[in-house]
Amino acid sequence: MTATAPMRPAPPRRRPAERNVPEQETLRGRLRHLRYRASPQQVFAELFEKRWMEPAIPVAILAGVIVFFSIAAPGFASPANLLSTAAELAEMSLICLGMAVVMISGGIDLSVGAMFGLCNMVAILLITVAGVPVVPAILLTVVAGVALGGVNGVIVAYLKARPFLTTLVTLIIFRGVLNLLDLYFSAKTASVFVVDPVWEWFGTGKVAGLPFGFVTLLVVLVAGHVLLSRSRFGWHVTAVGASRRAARHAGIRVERVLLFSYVAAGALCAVAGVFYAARLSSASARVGEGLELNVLTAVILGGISLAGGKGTVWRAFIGAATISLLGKGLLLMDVGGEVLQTVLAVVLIVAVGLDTKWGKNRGKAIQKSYVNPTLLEYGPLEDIRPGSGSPFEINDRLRDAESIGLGEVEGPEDVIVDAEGRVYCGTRQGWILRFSGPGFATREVFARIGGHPLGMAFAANGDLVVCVGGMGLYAVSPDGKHRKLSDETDRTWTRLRDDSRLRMADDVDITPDGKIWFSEATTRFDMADWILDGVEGRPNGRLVCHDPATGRTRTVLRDLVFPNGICACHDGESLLIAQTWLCRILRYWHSGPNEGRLEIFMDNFPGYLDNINRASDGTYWVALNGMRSPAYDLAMRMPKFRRRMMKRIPRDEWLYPSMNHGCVAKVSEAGEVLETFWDPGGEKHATITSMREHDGFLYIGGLENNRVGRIRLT
Amino acid sequence: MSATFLRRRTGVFAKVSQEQIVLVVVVALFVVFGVTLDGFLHVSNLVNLVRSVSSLGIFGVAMAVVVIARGMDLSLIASMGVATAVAIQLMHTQVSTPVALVAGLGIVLVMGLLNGFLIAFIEVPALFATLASGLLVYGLARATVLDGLIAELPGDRHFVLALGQGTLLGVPVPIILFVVTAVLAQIVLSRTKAGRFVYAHGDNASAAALTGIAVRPLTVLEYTASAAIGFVGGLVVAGSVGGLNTQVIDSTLIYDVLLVVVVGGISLVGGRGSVLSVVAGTALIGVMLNGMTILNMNTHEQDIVKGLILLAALVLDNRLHPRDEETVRQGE
Amino acid sequence: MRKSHARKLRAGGLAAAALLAVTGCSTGGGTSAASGGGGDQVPATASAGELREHAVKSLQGKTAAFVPIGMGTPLMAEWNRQLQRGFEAAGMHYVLRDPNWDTAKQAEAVQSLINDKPAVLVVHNFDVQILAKLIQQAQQARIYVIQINMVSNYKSDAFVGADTIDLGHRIATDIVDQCGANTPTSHEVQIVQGDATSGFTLDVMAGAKQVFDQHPEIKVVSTQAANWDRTKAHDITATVIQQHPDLCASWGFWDQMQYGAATAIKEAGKQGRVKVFTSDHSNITCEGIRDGLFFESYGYSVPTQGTDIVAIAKYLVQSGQAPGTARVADYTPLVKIDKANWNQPNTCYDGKNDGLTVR
Repeated sequence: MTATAPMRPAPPRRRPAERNVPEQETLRGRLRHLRYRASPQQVFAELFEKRWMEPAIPVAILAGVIVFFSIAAPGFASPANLLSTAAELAEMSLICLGMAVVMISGGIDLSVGAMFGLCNMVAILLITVAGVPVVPAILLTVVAGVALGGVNGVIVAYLKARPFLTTLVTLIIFRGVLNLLDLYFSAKTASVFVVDPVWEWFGTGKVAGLPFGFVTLLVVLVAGHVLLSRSRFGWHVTAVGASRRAARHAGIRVERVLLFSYVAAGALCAVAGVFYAARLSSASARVGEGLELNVLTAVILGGISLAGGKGTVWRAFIGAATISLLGKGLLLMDVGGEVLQTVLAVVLIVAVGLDTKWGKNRGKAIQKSYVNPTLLEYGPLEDIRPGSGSPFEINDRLRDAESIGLGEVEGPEDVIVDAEGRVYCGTRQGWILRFSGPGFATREVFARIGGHPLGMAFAANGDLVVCVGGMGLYAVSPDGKHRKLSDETDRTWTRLRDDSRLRMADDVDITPDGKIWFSEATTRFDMADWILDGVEGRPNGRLVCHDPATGRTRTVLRDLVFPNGICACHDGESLLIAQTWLCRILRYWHSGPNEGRLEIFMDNFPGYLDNINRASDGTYWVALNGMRSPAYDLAMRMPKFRRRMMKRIPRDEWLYPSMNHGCVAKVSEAGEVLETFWDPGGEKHATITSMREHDGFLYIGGLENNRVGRIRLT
Repeated sequence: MSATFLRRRTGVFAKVSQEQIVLVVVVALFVVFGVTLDGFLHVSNLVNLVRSVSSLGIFGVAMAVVVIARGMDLSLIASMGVATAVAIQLMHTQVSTPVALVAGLGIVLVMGLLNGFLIAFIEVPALFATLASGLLVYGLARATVLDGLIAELPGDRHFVLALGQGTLLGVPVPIILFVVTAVLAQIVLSRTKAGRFVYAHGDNASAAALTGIAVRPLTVLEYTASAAIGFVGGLVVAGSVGGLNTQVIDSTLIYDVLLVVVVGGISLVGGRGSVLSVVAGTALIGVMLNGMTILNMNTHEQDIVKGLILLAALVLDNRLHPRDEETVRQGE
Repeated sequence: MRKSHARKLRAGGLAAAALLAVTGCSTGGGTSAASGGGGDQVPATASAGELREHAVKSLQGKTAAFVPIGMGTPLMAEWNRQLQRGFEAAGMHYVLRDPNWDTAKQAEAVQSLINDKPAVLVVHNFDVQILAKLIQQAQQARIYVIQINMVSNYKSDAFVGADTIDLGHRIATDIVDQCGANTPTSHEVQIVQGDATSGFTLDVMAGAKQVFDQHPEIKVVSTQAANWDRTKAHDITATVIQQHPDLCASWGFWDQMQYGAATAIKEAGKQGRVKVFTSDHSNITCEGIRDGLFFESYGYSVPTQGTDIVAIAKYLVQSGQAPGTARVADYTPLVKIDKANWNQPNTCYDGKNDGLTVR
């Protein structure tokens, strides 16, 4: 059948605006559209959805600290200062790392400062008083750290005491022991100078110009990263921290994991203590006093959540570096210790406040700013009541539709009939059902794909090509075997959001050259939230083409407002694209002399369009899944109103596009409405998403329906 | 929720509360020390015993108010220390004693408001909020107001000196202040609407909110009241030592206060215990400190013993009032 | 090492001038080109103007830095005041880095100063070890290091402070006078130390040992470290006074700290019966003696310690000798303060005023 469309006077090759342009639009109106098209909120929401954004803020703070002090504090940026800071930073970072491991496991260890001080003392005592050679002494010190951490771990994990108070008390006890050691041995440690090359090297040795302590830190960081993010132990720690109950139910030995995390903290404090001892050789009881607060602030600032289950070794390091450099910078600016304390306290309050507020409300904030309404205008709404004389005038032609698979099918978005007259439809369960035999009484599961099958089309080789919501484009061979054709397309590099995955492939049709054209209705919302795209009204969809010959998938048209139905025209050169929220149909020439042209085929429908299919007589069938209402048309003209609505009231009380009443319309190649089919009470076919003509019958599907309908066309 | 995890105790322990156990222990220690240690039962030693722990007891009452409401105030000592030091510093000028005291009171009230705001409205866990606010007020005060580490009380401020060193009818004033504070707090907590609300808040904060108690303002009130009681304790300390070393803020005093509260049976899960628990805890600590003193233990050894006892109390608290440790969140 | 201090330098009125003469002899050849220090020596025949120019030139624009163990007490405030006044008058920059009683921070502060390379570094050692390596590094980096009042295991260009061994000796002798064999007392003495690893503590203890070894009747019933903290001293003393109600003397190594012990004694109702000995002479000492809290104290001329440091620093910078080649000790006069002289001018200092008289 060849196209008989009247030749229009050279239509502009420019793509029509992705909105309903009212007649006699003023400049002001156009500016209004432009204004609502811009959406900083969307950038914000997409930005904060990114995983790399979480460490980005701490890193930005660290960079800010470095830049500020490089300018404000003389000598801060000098190599000598950075080198000596590196050695101090190494000790701080090791302790922070210990704290981080415990916090990721959902606990907290306030005794890190005391363990650090005690291990420093133990190392010096072993070497000076006990006369142990340096290497065994270092090993023994680490063992001591493990034992101290073990005490915390046993009490917290097995005696089930609260970590905060437990470690607060062990802090007192460890410090008491430290003071006693100081009391009894200080006179002896004070007068001995350790001369040992290994000890010396621990204190001041350099590897590739960096202090040995710092190099050790780097090694520990890499090892810790691998352990925490790639090993079974690390995963268990994270799991226990995220949800202890779930971890226990998953068979993780929660107690043992907790014990290990505290032991790790003890061991890391011991290593830090060894470096401190070697660097300064000071067996003072004051070492590590009040350190726990700095460490805690650092770790929280690095972005390791108090709630547990979240965090990396790098974040601990970033936090430690921020706090160390902050302290160093303030010191270089010659401000008193109390200023540092004040700054730390403020940082701690802000960091914990942000952590709790952000952790609690992040999802909500993203969700609230995620849906981002824009301005959408409609033409005058036609009166379609019986007796109105409109082409859409309501009738009852679907009332007597017979039912196929009544109650046996859930949500047949699309229906298709094969050459043998068997009816196929997708269901919510992720199956494709096939009805056959007399009265279509035989129901069989043709294929189980997994996602909700939406648009379907038969390829020339008999394969059923299916768009699967959330999965992509699939083909099912006649024996019911399915295979993936494509689940990704080109990425839009100008967007923050990675849109290369197909999120909601919706309808599909195949042109005579074998190319598979399908629409992705929206790249921003999942199948379950598709209606939110209607509240938003932005051009989030695209037209995608998959060429089975090359296996390549490419995006043909992007930034379309919810392209839903796709239909290859009778002329073999163009496609019709039904856009739900714009209530219009586009025509796109994919080949022939007009290749690349995109124009409006029909617009200002009184309802929201869904699938579109060829009719046997050179016309087209269009499904309307819902009807416009004056109230919602008005709401779409008021983006601020919709935003306020989303902020103020719960989601189930929002105003949505009406999706409970629709019809099937037949439109001509010239863009005229020829006839409509209604079920006025919505008893059998309320929301109609698809229809398919076959052999004198029209088969009707609906996304929310419990049947496939069939009427005889006369 | 936690009810499903609550292990019912059988036998004696089902009926005996922790504070009763503690009181029994106190009596037992009392008898043991009385028999074995020379001079322990001497009247002057006993008065000295009570007087030496009365400021600790007052701090304990202050802490009890927030702990009963399932909170915690680690800034108690810091706010009282800064407020007292500032008040003393004002006393070095021409400012009259009442004005200086009102200025100090103003500082603790602001601290209480800040803590309450952070905890109730920003929803920062109490432990971290008060930890940070304590550091903040001390750092800020040292950076701006305070002259040095030690605030010396001028000898002519007799009212404050009397709070620490005076006697009334032969009873040292600190003891009287402790008794008055404890009795008042007990009456408010058990006989007034606000007091019952504090228990309701600690027992189940969300249930309290659902029944219409304004939990957030109540939280602010609790921390403000706690800080104000703490200030009384601070004046007692300043009066008895003739000044205040603000380094006390960095010391382990705050842990001793927690010890008094937790040992006495005011569970950290909130809603349990009473001022009597503070009295029991204070008595235990007082007897122990006195005994350890006479036993010739140094402060570090005493710290260790105290720590071990606090640890035992924590474990015991957890045994008597088990919580659902699988759903418990950070900061508890 | 410490043995060398044992020589009793009764340097009562010895001024810095005499001292300079001594060092001048011992390091006569030390005129190597010291870039960190001053210029070349001025010939003896130079005119007054040339000498002045040399002095001004070698000091002008140089930096002097002070790292105490923590600010907030009159002692540190007085040092800071004197150093600032002296160095700035000489046209030098003066920098104070306050580690706020944190050992790690103090090490960091010194480390950062080594990187900054001031001409002179004045340090107040927390303990004998903590800065030992850093002082060595500082001198290698051509910085003159002067230690104040508390020595390090590593001896630097100069030490300014009390002759702490002598101080210990004197106070111990006075205690023997009050509590010794000839007195009708319990002979029980309590000692409240500073940080047990501090040079001050170690030296004072060494001096005390010399005396107490000869007086076996003195029973030192308690020797505990209160880490320069008044509250700790108070708590320790409250314990000791319970154990030993007949205590004869309580000796604390610093007035600020010992004041806590004195109040504990007062609280126990033993004021006057337990004699409180201490050292240093901030205003609290004079007030404490006035109020009967303290029995006696030894001041070590804190204000002049500050000026001595400035003088020695000026000498070192102008001399041009390499850092680390000098080794001098300037022991400041010890002055006994008791009932007799507490109200004399200049007996005590408060870190704010010159010529303080406590009334």
